[in-house]
Amino acid sequence: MFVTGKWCEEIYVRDFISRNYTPYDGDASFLCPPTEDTLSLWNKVSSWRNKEIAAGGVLDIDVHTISTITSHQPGFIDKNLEKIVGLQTDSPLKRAIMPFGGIRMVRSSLKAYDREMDPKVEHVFKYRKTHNDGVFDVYTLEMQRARHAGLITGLPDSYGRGRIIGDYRRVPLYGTSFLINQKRQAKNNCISDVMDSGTIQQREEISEQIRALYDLTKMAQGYGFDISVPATNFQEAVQWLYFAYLGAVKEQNGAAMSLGRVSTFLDIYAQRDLEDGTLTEEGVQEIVDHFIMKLRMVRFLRTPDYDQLFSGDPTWVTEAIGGIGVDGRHMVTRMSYRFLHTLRNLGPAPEPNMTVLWSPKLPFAFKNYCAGLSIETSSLQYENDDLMREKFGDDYAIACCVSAMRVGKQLQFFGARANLAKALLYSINGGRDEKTGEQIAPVREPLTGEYLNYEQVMARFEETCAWLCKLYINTLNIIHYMHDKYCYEKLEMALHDEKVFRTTACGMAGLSVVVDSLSAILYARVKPVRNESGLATDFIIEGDYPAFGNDDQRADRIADMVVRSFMTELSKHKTYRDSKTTLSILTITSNVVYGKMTGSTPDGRKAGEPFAPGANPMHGRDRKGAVAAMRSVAQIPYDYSEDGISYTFSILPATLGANLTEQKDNLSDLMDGYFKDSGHHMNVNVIQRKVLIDAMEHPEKYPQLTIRVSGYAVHFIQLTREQQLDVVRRTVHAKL
Amino acid sequence: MQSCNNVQGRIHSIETLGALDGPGLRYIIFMQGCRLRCQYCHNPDSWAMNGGTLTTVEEQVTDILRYRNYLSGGVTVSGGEPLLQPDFVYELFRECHARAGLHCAIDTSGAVPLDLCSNAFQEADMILLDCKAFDEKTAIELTGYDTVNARAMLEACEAVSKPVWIRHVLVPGKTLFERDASGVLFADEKDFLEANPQLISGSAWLSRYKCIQRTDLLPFHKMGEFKWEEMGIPCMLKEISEPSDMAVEWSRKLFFRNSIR
Repeated sequence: MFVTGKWCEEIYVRDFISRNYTPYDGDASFLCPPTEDTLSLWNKVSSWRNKEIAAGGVLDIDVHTISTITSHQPGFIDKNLEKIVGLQTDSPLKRAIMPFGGIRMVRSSLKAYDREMDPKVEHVFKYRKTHNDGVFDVYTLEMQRARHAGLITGLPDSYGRGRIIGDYRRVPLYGTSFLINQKRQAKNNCISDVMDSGTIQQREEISEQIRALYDLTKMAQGYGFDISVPATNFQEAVQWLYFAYLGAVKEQNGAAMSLGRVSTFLDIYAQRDLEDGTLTEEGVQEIVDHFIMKLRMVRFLRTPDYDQLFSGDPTWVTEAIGGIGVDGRHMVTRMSYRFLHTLRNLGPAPEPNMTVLWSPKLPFAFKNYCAGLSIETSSLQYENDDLMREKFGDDYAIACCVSAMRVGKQLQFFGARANLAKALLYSINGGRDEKTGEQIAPVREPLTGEYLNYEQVMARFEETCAWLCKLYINTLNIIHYMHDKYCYEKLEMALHDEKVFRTTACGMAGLSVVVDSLSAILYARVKPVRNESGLATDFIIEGDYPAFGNDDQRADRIADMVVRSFMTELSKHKTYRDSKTTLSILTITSNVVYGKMTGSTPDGRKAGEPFAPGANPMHGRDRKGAVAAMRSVAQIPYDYSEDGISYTFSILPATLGANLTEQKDNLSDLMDGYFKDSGHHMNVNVIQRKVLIDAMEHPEKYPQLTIRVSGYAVHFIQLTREQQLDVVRRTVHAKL
Repeated sequence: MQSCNNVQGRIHSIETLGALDGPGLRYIIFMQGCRLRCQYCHNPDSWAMNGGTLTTVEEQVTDILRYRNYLSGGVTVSGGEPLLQPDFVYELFRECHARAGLHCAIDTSGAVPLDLCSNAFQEADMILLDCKAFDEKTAIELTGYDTVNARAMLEACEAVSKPVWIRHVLVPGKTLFERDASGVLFADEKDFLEANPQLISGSAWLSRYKCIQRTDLLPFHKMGEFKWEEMGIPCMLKEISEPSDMAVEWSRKLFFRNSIR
């Protein structure tokens, strides 16, 4: 029996976990290899995946059925072998259409993959508006121009916004009947003296949530399970939890559909079954392997443009593993190992996005295991638990790549990012775009001196940022108003408390470009090269300047100042639903595309060249080695970029140590150092450059080669050629 | 304690992520200046005695201490030849010991006579000794110097039980013979060993020293060649290729058999 507590009376998953989980200090020797059934299933999935790649990225599309929680008949890989069941459609890797974010996205995706739109579906959207329609009804001209110029990019205005994590654990722990009752009560209590728009919206949303929970129950019934009652054993717990997640990915085509923090929760069930003797370790691992396999099969229908931006087919099924509890006990369990072990049992993969919540206080054996797995698979990312626990407690998870939020109690309005390097160029060019000459920001006299003057540039840059921040927040306000109205995440929100803490999560791209540019203007002499219409299209740098990434305070202070002032400027503006404004420094792989859209910059970067990913220093400018670069990044103030600071670290195995034992120790020590220094996030790639080069030439040999890019992982062979070259160039922390 | 902090050294460069030059993660200081002219040198730009950046011990220690959270190993001075600046190394190590208890290692060719650098030698916790060749003729040909002083340094380490890591670069045609008379790679280990008596005697000689904790046999690589070209020095090893994996493997096996870790 479970230890009882407050969780029995009210929805309080954290209480259940902390009273019942068993921290595990041992090593990985208890883990089991895949069973015959697992291998057989995985072979099938792999062969479908190969067909999918061969077919140009999409295996099949159900063009007739608008996806909802209950829209499709049950689907299977092999009914007789699957320990965990459930697919998004009736057939593996077949994609569904999810038009409520934007029917246009569906149309262009179908067109790109040579499929006809079903007239019946078109007919529905003669009468039904989508999120995308709503947004464009309201966008101002100024917003559209900024979006078109690539000043504000990646906005979730034509598809699902994502970045919301349902507390999927509630379904196995309580069953849907209990959850529905709780929601009913909440609705009854949601009555105010005046029926103002807030109250009306809240009551309508709860009604939607209740409906979603009924639908979820029905969907599970289709597979022969009654999830209205709590799960009674480990297999049921995983199955119930997966159904909850599956409902969410049938209902929403979100930009990131993260899983949360489920492994330690599930360990409690496994531990009980193991102790009762109803399950063996092999049986537990098999269920985990089958579950992870399903998470690797989540697919959304998106346009090739989108896939090019984000390199393949990302879903960001992020799972947060490890961390330390508020009571001081670490939260590593056997299940933490079992989840990670799927990278060996099924081979490396980008999904689920395994995220280790690191603290130097984690057990040595676990740290060592993670380091070894990183060296072997390059599939893990690490985030600073000590830093986040202070703000988010010990039951937070990561949405997408780096965004921490309390599970079931907090959500974010995803705001993609602003191209700060472009904003700097607008400051020099009087608000005109450096590539097209179009007036995007308010008209100002361009700077005309022979050399750029730091004070003048900074004054203009502050002006531009002030204008940009206001525009950016207002744009996001529209997007999220419309998303709530036309594409509300009813199931995910049914798995949240009613009183939710909301953030508006802004982002920036090109930080190191801007810092180095300002440093060059301040410490060297920068001469703009202007074209006939007066636009600065190139820059000549005379002399040397301190670059970001060398632990040099002259540059690092500029980074600190840029981040603080951008965040401060953003938070001046009123946000939708009074959410708290936050900022991330994250690009994912879009650093390549942003670079393409941005002209030459005063740091010496030429037009079209990639930005550094996330908060990384610009490539090739570090002179003191990787730790100095880490120190520069670690000094970016997390308090002013609370939505995350992404750093991608790539190293050759031979540079990390003379043998595997030393490589593991050194990597683990390196992360201890980075996180003690208050670094927030680190992607770790330990990879031979010659492997990458060979994979570019012979992709068929490397179907599972996985590497980390800013905030998540991708199959290397799915990157575009430009992105591949960018990664190869960055794999250089090699000592001569 | 800080009276000598204004001692200056010439620094070629810094590597903050050192994972090979001594145990654990280390801060590596590449010192400027070397009298050897190793034909396979990766850093010919560190030869000139008057180059580099003049840095005081205080400045250097202050920078090292910024990295304390990462330095599970400690500090290594490399080069160039660090023992050509023994007073700087001595004061630097004293400060690192006193202020942070950091483990300090010297990566040296051992060519500097001990009596000229005994202060630095004594303050070091470990010596990484680069054995250029196991016979004097080759050593002189490869570097311009014999190995008399290096051998004396190894004896000195043995006498005071100072831990040593030996490094030895396998240069085809110079310190490693992997081809038969007609230029074909040896296919047989026995033939290979017969052609490499210097490796057999070298490994036997090293196996007598208890102070040696480890021997790294490093295959010659060509990644430093561009520096020679940049500096306009004719690179004498241009025609030499990197050794075959097999030859490196056999060499390592031989050293391992002679109980050198």
